Amino acid sequence: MLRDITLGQYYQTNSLLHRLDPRVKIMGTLVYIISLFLFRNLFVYLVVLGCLVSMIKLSKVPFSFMVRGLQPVMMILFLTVICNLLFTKGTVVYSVWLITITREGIELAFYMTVRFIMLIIGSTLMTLTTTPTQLTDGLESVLSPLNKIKVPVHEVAMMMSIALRFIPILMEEADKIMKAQLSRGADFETGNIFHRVKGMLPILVPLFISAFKRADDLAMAMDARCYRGGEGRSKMRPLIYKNVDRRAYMVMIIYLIIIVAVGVFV
Amino acid sequence: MRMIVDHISYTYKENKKPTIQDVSFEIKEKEILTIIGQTGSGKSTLIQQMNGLLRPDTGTIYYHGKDVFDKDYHLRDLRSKVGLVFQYPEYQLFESDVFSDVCFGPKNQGMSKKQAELKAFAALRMVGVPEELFYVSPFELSGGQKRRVAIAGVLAMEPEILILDEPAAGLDPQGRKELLSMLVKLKEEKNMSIVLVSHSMDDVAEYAERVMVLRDGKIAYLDTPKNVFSHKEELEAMGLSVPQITHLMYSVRAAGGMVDVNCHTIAEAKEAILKLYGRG
Repeated sequence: MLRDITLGQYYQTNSLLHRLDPRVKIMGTLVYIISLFLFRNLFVYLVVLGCLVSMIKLSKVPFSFMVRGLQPVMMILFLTVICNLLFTKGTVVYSVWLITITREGIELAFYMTVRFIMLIIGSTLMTLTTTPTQLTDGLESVLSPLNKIKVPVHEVAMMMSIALRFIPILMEEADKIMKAQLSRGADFETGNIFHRVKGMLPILVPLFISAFKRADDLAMAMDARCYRGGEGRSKMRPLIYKNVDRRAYMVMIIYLIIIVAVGVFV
Repeated sequence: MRMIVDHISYTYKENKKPTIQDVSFEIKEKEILTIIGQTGSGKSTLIQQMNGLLRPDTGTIYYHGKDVFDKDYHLRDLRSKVGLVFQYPEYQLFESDVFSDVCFGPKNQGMSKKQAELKAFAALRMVGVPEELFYVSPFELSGGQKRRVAIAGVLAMEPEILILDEPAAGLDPQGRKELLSMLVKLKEEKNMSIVLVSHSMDDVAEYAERVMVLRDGKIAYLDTPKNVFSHKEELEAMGLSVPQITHLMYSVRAAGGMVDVNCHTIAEAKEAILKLYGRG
């Protein structure tokens, strides 16, 4: 039942990308996303595509996993393509009844699709090669300058990691409650939508109650261990840049230069 | 024979090793069958199959001679006749008051409001929840009372077979005793078959008519408590044990008192020790 859903996209293997510091990967993804939106030029996209493919090769993650990340957004993508095709004004190439398709529309839809797919695959690649814990640690460190303007970065990162930690627990709990209510003859599948929503109550109420209870217990346990926020707190595994990471930053800079060069001169 | 479990095996998707391997047994009318086994031996998985919540990979289960995994068989019918009380059942409570929560099961069975309320009333009485608590929120009750209400929620459906996964876990000694004698009463008065998953060998020795010992998803023993507990070494090798009183009898024996060590209840031990003094 619910247990079949896998959470967190992390793909366990040992590759160069997996070993990189999470901060590098976050910055890299950011650079990649910026590069996608800098120019609307076919050659730039070929360069980006080349880089993306070599990164995927480097990560040793099977390509099917990237495609899996695309599935949930396929619908949105499809809708944007339709809208772009139908509602962009310009030179008409094809027209029938109320539908007119323009050159600009096709162009826009094409670039939109390319950007979108590459954006999703690129960020999927990051989550596939970085564990959720590493990711939050990395985010905390990358966003730490925001501390200066009184953004509680550590607290936000802590909330994220707690949330991530509790997802599997709550899933298991939901599964347990669902089974218990099924044994009491509950019915989640038949009837109209109102009936079904009402049928979910016997699961949702106990689930929320137990979530609140767990939150209380966790807060108490953290208090008992004298947790008082991020100030002066050290890490068991601090993030330290290694040589590989420095080289990765160099690669990023070179990549950005190439993109700009291609975008401006080609 | 109410239920026949026929050579079932089950493997969880994420595991390679089967959790249940070729298990067969039957549940007789009006009996208390206990299931013991180390954590991970497949007890919880097994009882979920008996309620139709998990479908065995191979083998099947017959309830009153009908294959419950047959296409024409409605699992809801099975679930209303085979009640399953999960471990820590209090988490299933959700209604705004105790009484309506207990009505949930019978209402799902398609009973009228009036009928459901009658069943709920009887079930709450049976588990010993006082009437002044009927209309308070279940979340205001103490742990032991919540447990009773949750069990009443299953009892109100009037099952023929009642399966309980460690119902006494976390209860105080008094609550434990009350709960177990309630199960005996259900068996005697309502002719129910009780399947009890337990970690307490003392309870098993005292209340069970038959004991099933599970080891790595297979039945290691299925016999009377007396016969099962005579395998002291084998049970201990499985991470299980024998009742406290049996340990005592072994100590008496070691100290030179020639008693029969195969005593598993206090009454039996008393007899044996008295016999020792009668002779000496």
